[in-house]
Amino acid sequence: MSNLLPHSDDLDFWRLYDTSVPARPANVACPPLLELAGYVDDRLDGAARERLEAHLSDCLECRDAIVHARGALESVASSGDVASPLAVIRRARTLRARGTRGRHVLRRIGRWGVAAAFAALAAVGGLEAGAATSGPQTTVETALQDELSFGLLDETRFEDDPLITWPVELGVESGEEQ
Amino acid sequence: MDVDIQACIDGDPRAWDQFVTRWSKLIFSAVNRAVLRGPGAGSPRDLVEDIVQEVFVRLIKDDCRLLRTYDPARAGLSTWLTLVARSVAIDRLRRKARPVRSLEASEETLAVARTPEDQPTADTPSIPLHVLTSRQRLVLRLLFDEERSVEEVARFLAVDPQTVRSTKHKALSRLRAHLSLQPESPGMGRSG
Repeated sequence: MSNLLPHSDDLDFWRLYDTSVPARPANVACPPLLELAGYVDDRLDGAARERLEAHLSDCLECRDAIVHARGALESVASSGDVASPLAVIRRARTLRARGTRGRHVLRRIGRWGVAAAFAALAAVGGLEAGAATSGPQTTVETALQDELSFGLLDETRFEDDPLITWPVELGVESGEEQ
Repeated sequence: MDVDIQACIDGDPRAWDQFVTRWSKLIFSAVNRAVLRGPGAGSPRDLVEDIVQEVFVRLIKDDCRLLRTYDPARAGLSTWLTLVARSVAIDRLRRKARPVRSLEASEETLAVARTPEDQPTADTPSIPLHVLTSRQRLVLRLLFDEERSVEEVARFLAVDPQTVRSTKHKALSRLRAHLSLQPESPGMGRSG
């Protein structure tokens, strides 16, 4: 294995100098994760690749992200790595079902809103149509309460972290501690 | 199994089910790997599963703001999701660790690993990395700062190991040539 390691004379030479850099360069935003992913997948053109490698040469965290991504992809591809997380799948499926319910609710609100308007006009005109609107309105209130509680839970779980640089492009920082 | 990302964004529950089924294993694996390497020992299954759930939440949060940023023309979905999963995991681990770790301790953890005798002193000259190409700098960092093998560096760069050796040789030659022109350089006269 030693023949794979850097030549000791070269390493000694390197260590004669101060080559240390911070884990993440100051005042420089790390590239978006999509760009790092493009590097791993070899989809960057020459200029973009060179630009990214210039960043990587100074950013330990992004280098580690590349190493992690390659390792995780190879691991899953070769061995399956871990057991299929059925509990995770169930939870995640439920999540989207709850998260998308708002759109269906809004569509229903739209339909019921029209019905309610007709009913109001009918009531003003002396027609007996008011009873047709009472059931749906109650259902709407219940559904909206569900959506509201889900939204509150969401926000409290994912407060922004003041010490982590998130925004880049994705809202996800791309570094990792060693 | 191809998953229709746009259908997920549009709120199609079936597409989301397929997305979760297709990618949960990869995301789980990426999170597990990040947790194993992160601060704190072991990989508590509950924590990993919780972070995986957080990854899915982040993808669809704010009307799928994160998922919408994915562009299939720029990278594979599996690679991108792996990086997203890692980032969410690291974020969670840092949040978890913060109450007991000072910023100073974090900086120490993040610093490039060196033994005490390797630590540069105030008198240690900086290496003139500007004379190198970005690829050369990256190769030297991976080989010497991170002490990775030539094969590991080749895998990182997706190139042949011989290319790594050649790049290293050219980089060191260029550095030594540059330093030999400098007065009282610690690298003067050394070969290798």
